[in-house]
Amino acid sequence: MKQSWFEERGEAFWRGHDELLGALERGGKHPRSASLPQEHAQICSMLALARERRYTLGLIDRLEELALRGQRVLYAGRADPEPPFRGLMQRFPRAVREHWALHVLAATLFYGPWIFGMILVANRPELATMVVDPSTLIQMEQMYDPSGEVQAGERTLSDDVAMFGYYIWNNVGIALRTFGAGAALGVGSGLILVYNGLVIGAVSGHLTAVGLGGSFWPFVIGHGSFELTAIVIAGAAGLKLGWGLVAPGRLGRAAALRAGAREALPLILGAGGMLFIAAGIEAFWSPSRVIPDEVKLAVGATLWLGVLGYLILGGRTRHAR
Amino acid sequence: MAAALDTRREIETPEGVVLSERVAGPLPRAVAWGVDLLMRALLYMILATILEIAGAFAQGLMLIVVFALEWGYGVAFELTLNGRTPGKLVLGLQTVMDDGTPVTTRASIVRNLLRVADFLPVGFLLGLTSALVDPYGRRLGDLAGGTLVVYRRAAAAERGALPPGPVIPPPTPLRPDEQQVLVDLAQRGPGLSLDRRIELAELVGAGWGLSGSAALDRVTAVARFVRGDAPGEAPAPAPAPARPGDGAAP
Repeated sequence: MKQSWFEERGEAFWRGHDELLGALERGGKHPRSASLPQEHAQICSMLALARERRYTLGLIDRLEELALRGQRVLYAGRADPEPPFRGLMQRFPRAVREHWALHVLAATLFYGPWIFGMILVANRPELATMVVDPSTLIQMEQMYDPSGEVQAGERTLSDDVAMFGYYIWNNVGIALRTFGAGAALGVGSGLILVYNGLVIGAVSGHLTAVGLGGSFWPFVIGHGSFELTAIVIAGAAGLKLGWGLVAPGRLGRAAALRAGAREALPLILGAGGMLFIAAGIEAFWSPSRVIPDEVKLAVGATLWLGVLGYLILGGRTRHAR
Repeated sequence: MAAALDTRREIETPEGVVLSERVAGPLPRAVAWGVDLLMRALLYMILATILEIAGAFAQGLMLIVVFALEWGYGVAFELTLNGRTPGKLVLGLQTVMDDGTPVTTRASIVRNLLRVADFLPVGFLLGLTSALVDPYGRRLGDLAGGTLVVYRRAAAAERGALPPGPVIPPPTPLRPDEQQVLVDLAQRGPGLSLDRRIELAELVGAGWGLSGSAALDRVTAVARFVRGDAPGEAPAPAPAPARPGDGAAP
């Protein structure tokens, strides 16, 4: 068939299909919406014919454009095969247990430097300034000084909300960065874990050494359960990404990275959720002056048990899966 | 068909045809990112002026909004605007899955979170390296999410029938790919200078013993035959410019 006859026969159909696609692309309706799959199939077979018969590139381009747009519109209505948030409460602890070795590694990378920093500063207090900026240390001392402005001064609900926003922006941001940086062979995640562990260790060691542990530990124990655990999980998720590139196994490296991201996603989403909870506790519960320290310590310990219990027991089903 | 140099990705669809996506390189993507950055900066400035008057409470809200914009901007726009952020909209780009279907929630979250890794160690060096090494210009986030950033197709220019004129069958049988080249040449004519058209037509015409504008006229006439255009009135033949080395038409 000569190209001009082909064009003559197809022209009206192509125009109509273009109009249908336009309407659906704008999210609207069209009287022929239901015949989209049929029309799309027809466009595809026309494209194949045009190629086979070596019609001109202009015509092939035009049909290909219609087919590509049709493909997007047709499959836009397809249900997401794996909605990332569905069943997350169950999938999150399951994923943590499945990758327990990575979590042990991440916890070591975080708590190892922490303990190291604490012991270092306890024995050689002057070394604290090597890890943490001296002005930051002074600021920390003021923050936890029982007679200081922060502890004894007036604290309003507005201040709590301000801190809530700060904790979300800062802490959830750190967790997401710890995860994302993992794609760089896991090095990014590892460095963030070690650095944060060391700094927090040095600060807590320093505060304890100067005698402010009494106001520091009751403050951090409550939200620490969610916050510190979530940082470790975010780090493990990042290491999972990097591990795919380091040791892809039977897959190609790109495919391994993709598979790693699929498995790590529930981890980072869960960790992010935990940090939102941590931000709430840290802003509204931890700084409260009404609640006695004994209660804060008891509740904090309960929260730690709760978080660990959830991660160990959550998402288990009776039946083998 | 696609040369290794082409930045095209061919996708075989369930309908049994191969479609090709035109993949975007690092430069237009960087510009799109810059536009998005500018958009966010503008939003922050507006927010800051509104909230400056307000107190600590508003500052807390402000930080939550900043967090949401920093981390949710890409995902929110990609999922609501067919894989396009405002920057990509301006540059005519679109994020799609590597099988040409619309980007999924999971893929969008992954590719936007992994922008952190692409940024390392400074200024998107890792992402740029990945985009230059990968044949489809994907950064780490794209590899992990299984996505591509492609040019949105402009509606193909309609190149229908050739201007009417004489219709002449080819003096020798033409292979299908030769026919295709011939008609493409005739259809692209209006975009080229007359000298260039004659030059190209002579490449074909030489085999038929033609040169100069005679070759161009014959190529166009044969192209009409191949396309199957109806014979029409020949337009007044344009006087051929005097060209050195023009041979006599047979």
